[in-house]
Amino acid sequence: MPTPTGGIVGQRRWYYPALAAPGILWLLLLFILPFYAIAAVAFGGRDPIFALPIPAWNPLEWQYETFSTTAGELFSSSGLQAQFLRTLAYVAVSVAICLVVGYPVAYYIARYGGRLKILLLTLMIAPFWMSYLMRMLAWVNLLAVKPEDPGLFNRLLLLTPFVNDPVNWSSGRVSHMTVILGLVYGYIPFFILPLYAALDRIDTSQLEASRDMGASPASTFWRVTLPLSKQGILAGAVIITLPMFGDYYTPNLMTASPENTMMGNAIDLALQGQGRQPQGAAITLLLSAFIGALMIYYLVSVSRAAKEAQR
Amino acid sequence: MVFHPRDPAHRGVSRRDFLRRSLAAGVALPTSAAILAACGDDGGTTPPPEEDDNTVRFGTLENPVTLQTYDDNPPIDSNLEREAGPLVIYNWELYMWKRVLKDFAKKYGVEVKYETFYNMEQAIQKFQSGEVDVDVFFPTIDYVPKLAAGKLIQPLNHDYIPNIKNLWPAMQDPYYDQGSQYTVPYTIYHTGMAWRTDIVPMEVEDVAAMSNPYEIYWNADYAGKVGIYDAYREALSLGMYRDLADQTDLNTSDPAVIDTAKERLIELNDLVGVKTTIDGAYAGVPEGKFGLHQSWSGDIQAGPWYTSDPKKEAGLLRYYWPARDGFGGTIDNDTYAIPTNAKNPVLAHLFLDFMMDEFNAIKNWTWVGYQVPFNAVNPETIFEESYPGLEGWFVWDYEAPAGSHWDNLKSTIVTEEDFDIGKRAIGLDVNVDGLWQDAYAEFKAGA
Repeated sequence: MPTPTGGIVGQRRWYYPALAAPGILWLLLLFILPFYAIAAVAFGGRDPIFALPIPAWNPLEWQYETFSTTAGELFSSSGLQAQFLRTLAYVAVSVAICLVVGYPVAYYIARYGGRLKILLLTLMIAPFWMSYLMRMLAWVNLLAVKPEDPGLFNRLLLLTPFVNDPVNWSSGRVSHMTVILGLVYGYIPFFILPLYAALDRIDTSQLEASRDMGASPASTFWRVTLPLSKQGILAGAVIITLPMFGDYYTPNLMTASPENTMMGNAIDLALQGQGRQPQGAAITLLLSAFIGALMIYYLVSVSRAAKEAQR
Repeated sequence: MVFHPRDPAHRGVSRRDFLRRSLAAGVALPTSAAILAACGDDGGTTPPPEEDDNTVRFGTLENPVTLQTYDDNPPIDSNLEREAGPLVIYNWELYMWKRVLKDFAKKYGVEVKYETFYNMEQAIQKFQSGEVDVDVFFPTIDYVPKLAAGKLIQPLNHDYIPNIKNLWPAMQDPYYDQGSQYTVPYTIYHTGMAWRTDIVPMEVEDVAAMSNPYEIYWNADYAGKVGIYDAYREALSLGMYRDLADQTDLNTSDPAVIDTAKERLIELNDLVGVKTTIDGAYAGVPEGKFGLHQSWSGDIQAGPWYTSDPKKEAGLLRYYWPARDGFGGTIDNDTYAIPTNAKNPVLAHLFLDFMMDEFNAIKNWTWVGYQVPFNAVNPETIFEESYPGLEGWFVWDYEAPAGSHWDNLKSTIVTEEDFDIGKRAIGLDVNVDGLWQDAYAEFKAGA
């Protein structure tokens, strides 16, 4: 017969797992099972009439030809490799711009926002009450060059001494900038918010201590504020990097040019095409593996930071 | 809904049955070349296949095909009571006028729903997976033999469709479905080129005078202003027409030809930064975002509606189909079909008949911009005389100068003779299709 204490211990044993159960179920239904379905398609076959995928649910029946061919393309000179490298470059530059542009904004709101913090945060997020699609289409029209109408953005540029002719933003080398602009605009609030939270949590007495010890404002920022906000930067970077790697609609909407397609476009094209779903699933798995490696770095980094904080 | 797991007995086929049959068919599935060869070389009609034959047969103009019918996928009986609906239409976006749907709804006292798909591949996937539950579907002709062999569409009972007599005779008995057993034609179109003369300062005569009009796309002067369809068959066909003109085989299985077409598209990208779109012809060119775009005739026919000021800009639009001058060109038609597991098959038949009515079909054309192949349409007079009761409804009348029409769009009218000279893209077997898709993916990667 269990003692009262044992009963409480027994209850506690199930209390927290029970609380976690909905989340685990959610993950199982909306992540693990769909992910397994992707693997089953990547390693499955195709029906011979419509060439639609026949998932191989049993791992013992998996066929690795499509996956190995796709992986081979990624590591050789191919269109897929070009798209992967382009995606890496777009994401890296976009995250860097988000950092350069977003950090001062987050810093200002956290340190100097005062009573206006909520208002400033609300104003920053306000444009994002509109759908992503509408915001991108708005940019398309701002940048569009038509006969007798260089577009609003170009009209502003033409007022400066640096630009003499309307720029075609959707073509040539400048089109890369256009896509990056779209990515930065689309994702920067999701970078600023966790960064703001991290900066807002910094105990101001630590900054005052730094100043009391004779550090200059710049030195205090570099040696105290920035290290303490590193986790916020990483969190923001992870939050925007993950969807950027899978993004396909930004290049589609902003330029519609093959020169700007990303890995997400490769997946989209494969999934839309007859018989190419296994390739699409294989690309998804490869991209997931790469992103997974980045996530492991992030988790290790967070873990180290937590240990350092406990010392 | 086709292959719905909750209705496995309906018309005698379940998803598992289908896959098993598909695999069995796959064993016998010949290459497109073999299929064509099997169709015979004598130019005659391919005889109806044996009852249990699931082989996919692609007809050609030279070798029309009678699609197989199956005992377990019969047409509906005649003289059945129509269902209560709602009738669900599954079509491309903006590819049917809702006013015409309302006319049907009013006539029969039923609700009509309109659901859309992005492309045929997506539509078929949703069909097979059971995601959609529809009564009328609009397959492209390359998919018709596959849908019939897969028993995803049902044979039509022509007793319900007497208005089919209104179609051009050849359209009542098309090469891909002799006797219109499974489908009836919807719209017709060719794939030409559309441009704005204020961006591409050329008249139709100038383009026709080129050694190969398809070279117009490969002109660095139009960099950043050139678009093609984001559709692999259309895009690669353009690459082929660029080199081969009238000698182009739209259904080639030759990897070298497909690879060369891909290289041509990559060159095009390097030269003009070509864009791939679906709306570039009907909206992008009229809006001035594109100067030149590959264009289905029906897309640019709707162009005046998309200009910012039709009175000023509709007259700038041009359309040219090079086949009329011997350079080769694609022509095609879309179809209506009824899914095997349609919940309202009688109503669906009535809808087809409703749309085979000249007035309804032409009324729909006035909005969609895509022509219908009806005897009542006289290409010589349709611009000036319209159709009784629809005077002033056509897009070429839209804000045109008083007493005139947008005659610059006259070349978008498809004639019966165009079908004699145009090339048709038939369905490809999965391996050949894979070659085309892989080539297009390489181009799209912008390598």
